[in-house]
Amino acid sequence: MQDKIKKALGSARADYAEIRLEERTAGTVHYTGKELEDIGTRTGAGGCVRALVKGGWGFVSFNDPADLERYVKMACEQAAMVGRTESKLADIPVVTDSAVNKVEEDPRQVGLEEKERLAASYNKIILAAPNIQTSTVSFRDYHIRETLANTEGGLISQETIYCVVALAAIARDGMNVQRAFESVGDLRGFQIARGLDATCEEVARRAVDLLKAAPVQGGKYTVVCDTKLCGVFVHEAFGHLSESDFLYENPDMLKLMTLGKRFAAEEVSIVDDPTLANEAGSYKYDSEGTRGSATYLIKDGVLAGHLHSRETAARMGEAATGNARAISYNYQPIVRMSNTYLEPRDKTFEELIAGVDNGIYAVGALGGMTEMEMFTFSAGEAYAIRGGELKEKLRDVVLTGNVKETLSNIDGIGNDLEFHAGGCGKGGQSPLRVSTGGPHIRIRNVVVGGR
Amino acid sequence: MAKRSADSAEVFYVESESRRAEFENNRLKYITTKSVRGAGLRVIHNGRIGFSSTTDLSRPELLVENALESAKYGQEARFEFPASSRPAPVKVHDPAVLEFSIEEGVRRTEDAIGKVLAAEPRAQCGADLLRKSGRQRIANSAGLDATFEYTEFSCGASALLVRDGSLLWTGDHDCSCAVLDVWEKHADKIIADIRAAAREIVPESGAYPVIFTPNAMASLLVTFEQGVNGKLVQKEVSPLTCKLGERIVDTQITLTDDGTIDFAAGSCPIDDEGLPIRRNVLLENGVLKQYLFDLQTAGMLGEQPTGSGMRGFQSQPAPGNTNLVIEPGDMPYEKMIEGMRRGLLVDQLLGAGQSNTLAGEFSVNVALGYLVENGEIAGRAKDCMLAGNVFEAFNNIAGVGERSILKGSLMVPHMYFAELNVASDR
Repeated sequence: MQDKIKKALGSARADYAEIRLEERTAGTVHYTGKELEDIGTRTGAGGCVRALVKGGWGFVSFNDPADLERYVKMACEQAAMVGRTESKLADIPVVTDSAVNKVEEDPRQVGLEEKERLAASYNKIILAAPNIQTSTVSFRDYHIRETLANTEGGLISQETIYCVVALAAIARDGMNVQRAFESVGDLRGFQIARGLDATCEEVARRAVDLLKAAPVQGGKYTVVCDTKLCGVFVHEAFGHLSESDFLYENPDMLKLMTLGKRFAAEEVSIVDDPTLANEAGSYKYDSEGTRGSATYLIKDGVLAGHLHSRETAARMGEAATGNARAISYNYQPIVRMSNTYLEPRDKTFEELIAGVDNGIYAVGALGGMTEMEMFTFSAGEAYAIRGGELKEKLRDVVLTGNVKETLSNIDGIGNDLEFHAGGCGKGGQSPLRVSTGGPHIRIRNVVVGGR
Repeated sequence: MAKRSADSAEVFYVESESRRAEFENNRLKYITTKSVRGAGLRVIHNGRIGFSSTTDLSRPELLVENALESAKYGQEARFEFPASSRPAPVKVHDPAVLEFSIEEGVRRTEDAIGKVLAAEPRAQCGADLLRKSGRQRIANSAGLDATFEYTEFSCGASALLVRDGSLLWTGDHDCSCAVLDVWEKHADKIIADIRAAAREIVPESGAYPVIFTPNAMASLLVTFEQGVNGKLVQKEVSPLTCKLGERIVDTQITLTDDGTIDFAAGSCPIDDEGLPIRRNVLLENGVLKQYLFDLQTAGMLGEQPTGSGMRGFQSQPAPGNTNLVIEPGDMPYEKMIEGMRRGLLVDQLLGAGQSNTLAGEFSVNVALGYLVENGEIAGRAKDCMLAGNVFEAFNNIAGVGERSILKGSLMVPHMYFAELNVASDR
């Protein structure tokens, strides 16, 4: 196969070309309510060619790898149609490497019967709770083997094993229907799916508690976010703004995101790091073959770095950071996050709550979205805070705001950093495995939507 | 091959090729070609359903093995594969799509971007043009073997304008089975939005009458889609469970799922299990008439199938929508605006689907909306959120637009809600 690839690349009439081939096996067990709706193994394979001619890109993806040279030709022709300027890519070392993420328990060695038994036991726990209408228990494991080669002589193969468990409980009382979610995932192996009995009980309890929670009244509040919501906030509200494919040809956005500019409270530092061992967003090489590296996006409140592909790095005169990722062979790499987190400081959770006279403690996230300047995300559950103490449960807490203002309004950062797996969506490539992280944080003057 | 090892089997095969031109920051950035080919195999063996899928057609025995393995644990089958099919006579293939030249499309897009830049030189425009053709085949052991070909044409443009740290993002998008000539329309909409949004106002928090453009309506329909989804009804989590025959929303609302509209993006002659597509009336004058099912879900509930089994080749069928249609009413859009003393007109929303949609809750950021005062647009409504409950909102309707506009797989009119909650900094 490698010879075929070399030969095909050799025929490329382009300033740069790369071929990415992928084989993947995905295992799944999925319960919805009492029904086991999906169980089994799916396989897939395919590849793509990307060519760069005079600064323009051509891309071809395929399932049948037989005619590699024809695809290379098509990609180069398409690129030639687009190219008008000069091709520029940040330099990276020419690498020949093979990276395998080692897992403790290989999901492929765990039989379907055992996965089913485990999933069924979790499902039983959730469904046994009173007022629970239905549940979701989902196990997904992916084994992906990738080969990446380019016209610079780079040749990299990577093998990744990603396991993720998603749990949901839906509670119902008449027309009042409430949902709670929890999910865990990383590159450590199938053992992440074990020992989740307590988590299942917790998810069911949360959904049931929401039935009696009062809808929050809309307005401005001081909000303490738990570690999960902090991570989602950092990812949605700020992380996407640091992705250079949005910045590099946009002079107004470049001005907004100028390095050295104050963008947050002094205590705030935000990092994107794919080199963390085995977290959900980790990898050794990105989809262009650039070695992944840690990037400070904000350091001590000041804009410190951007996330790059080779092209955006060259165009912005910065070093490549290894953040060009494609979700599969079917797509081109675009600038994505990996593991993105807020650095912890020294407050305890109790200290953060005690400093709130009238506010909200928001826990977990149902989802988040950004339109660059504005963000919005929904908390999984929430509590009122009055006089420095946690009070009654609240629901439908949706937080929104302006990024810079909100980051500047962070006035307390906890000491308890935690990472949570997530699936990020951008440019139709969703869900890309990432992790988000943070400690508990406290933010003043957050707009909360509600009745 | 599967027929030999399983009691019954069904193969769902797709192949497609698409070509796409993407513009970023005012110029052509990528041209991509995607060629997809894959198959999903469903088996019923010893009364249980099994499934697997692959893109590697050189090893069918592995696909069969995986599907049979899956059937050891699968659900009890409550249906049989249909023996024949009478496809609906709906048009979903336009030869003009295959003949459409991407170079021509690039030229038209460049013209449109030029028009926008002439009106607003600081805009950063993006655009997307897609032409696709494909073939879908479904064959099962009961004798059904149906193939159809389809085409897809999709065209969109957007513009980003940054003014003093404030972002305006607007655009328009259309897709269909047939070639569309919408470049001019998109450029005009972007220019009109930029002009109307020049002045920015942060509305005070409170209750306002709100007009939703057809564009914005998609955000509110998620709850109804989930409500009529037979699978959610079977699990008893649909908000419309056990409500057949009851009036759910205002009598002015008739909502249908209609896969028979020629060339509409969601149309097809047969569903993904081989059943003929048809028009299903979901809400008639506000009253709930039926749910949507795939074969297994219909079997579990003892209901008639509705031709709504949808899937990709990598998954099993589940109830899904074709095109959602809300019948037009009798209020002209101009009359809605004229009659508004102080209210909102919203066109783009951010954050839809993240609230408790099963309970009908919505809480969205107004990404592009306008404040209307004394019958005229006063400026862009900035930094505010809309919140409410879909069932309450659709029971308090001030007017339904007199024209339903087809955009993609949604055909809806303007909707004038008497009162929704707005939350902002003020």
